[in-house]
Amino acid sequence: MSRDEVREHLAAYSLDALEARERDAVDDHLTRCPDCVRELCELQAVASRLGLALPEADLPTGAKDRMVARALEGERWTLSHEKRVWPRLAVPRFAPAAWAAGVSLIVALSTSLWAAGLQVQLNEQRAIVASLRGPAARYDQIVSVLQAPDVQLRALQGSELAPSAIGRVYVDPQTGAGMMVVRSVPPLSEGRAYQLWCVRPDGTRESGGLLKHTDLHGNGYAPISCPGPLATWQRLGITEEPAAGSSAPTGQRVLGGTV
Amino acid sequence: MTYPVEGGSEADDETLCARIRARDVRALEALHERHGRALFSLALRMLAESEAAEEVVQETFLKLWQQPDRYRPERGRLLPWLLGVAHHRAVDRLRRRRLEQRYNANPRLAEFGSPPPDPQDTFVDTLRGEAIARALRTLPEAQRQAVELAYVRGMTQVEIAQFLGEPLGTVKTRLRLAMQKLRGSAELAEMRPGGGVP
Repeated sequence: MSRDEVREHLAAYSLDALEARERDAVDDHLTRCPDCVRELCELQAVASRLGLALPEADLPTGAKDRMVARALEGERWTLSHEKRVWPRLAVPRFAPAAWAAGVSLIVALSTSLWAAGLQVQLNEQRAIVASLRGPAARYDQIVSVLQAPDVQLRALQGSELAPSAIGRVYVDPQTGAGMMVVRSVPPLSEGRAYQLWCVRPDGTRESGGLLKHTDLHGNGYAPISCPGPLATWQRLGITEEPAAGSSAPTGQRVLGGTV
Repeated sequence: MTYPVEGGSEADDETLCARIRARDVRALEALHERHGRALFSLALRMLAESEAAEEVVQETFLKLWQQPDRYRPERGRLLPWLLGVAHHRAVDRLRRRRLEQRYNANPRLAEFGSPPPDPQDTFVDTLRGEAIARALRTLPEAQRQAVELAYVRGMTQVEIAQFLGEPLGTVKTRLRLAMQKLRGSAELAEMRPGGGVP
């Protein structure tokens, strides 16, 4: 998209009135054009003034607490206003033997705490490694599919539900393993997923895999595993389903194409 | 227009953002007290559903909490940025709602996801800000309507064209001219980056 074309789109961009594909093109231009960024900032300030002028409404009771609870969910945090201040203690006078016993006790306690701390760190590292195994395995599968010499590509077009959406299915024609990539589909909400369907000539459908996450612009990718060689399928389709997947399509087709 | 902070926090937005970067959740609370109502008012007007509007407000502040560096003070004040994020989230929900209506072949599709405007309750008449209402009144009705359909009802240019039965190019021109006029309006000079948006 040229600079003049982008400038034609900035007003609609500031009002969130662009199609996803147009927005992506403008975003791409904005990364290298400070003049357009400046103009957009001014237009967005105008748009925000519209928002500020709308009739006031009170937030529901407890809204702030619910927001804070979500912010802190699963996160380590420190309340800066709750930093602990240890009181200054008056040091009592003890005999040398009592000092030695006390020091020994402190050393023993410190060692135990240090060991416990190491164990906690070790457990954390294990958890991190475990959490990375899934994505790493997914990337491995995707890389192996893309490196396969006879990898096949099938293009999917958006249905009337998502006319600007596009999809690509990369698949090993023998094993059916591969990946799907979608762009500009309606972003997924929690508990929902896009499911790939392989359609046989007789119309029966079998699941080829699930895509559980899209970004705000409706872009995403996921590994797939079509049941059997590509030649046994006539068409491919993608529908929105519950996150656990369905045994047969329950939603309308968002993307589709022929094999 | 001000949204007073309960508890009397006097720190400005920039200071509170710096404290959020240092993971001070009290700063997040203070910003929610200061700006939450403005965001909720926008989301509620767009979505016409309190629970969904509160979720939009939550998501907006969560974005600030999780990605504080996405807000760039040199590009403008915090509140317009927060409103922009909340608007984008609300638009996502509206478009999703419309898609679901199509998905379920719901006859309410024609309503484009939010309640139809009351003819006695036009967009301009409901606005509290006199400057913005005056500036909008200077626009031709067709341009004003295009801005309302885009901003409040979350329609894309393509959807507006379908809704109005007008050519897409006409809608694009109306939106562009309307925003250019509003931007150039003396009434709204204060809102520009570095200007007086509270």
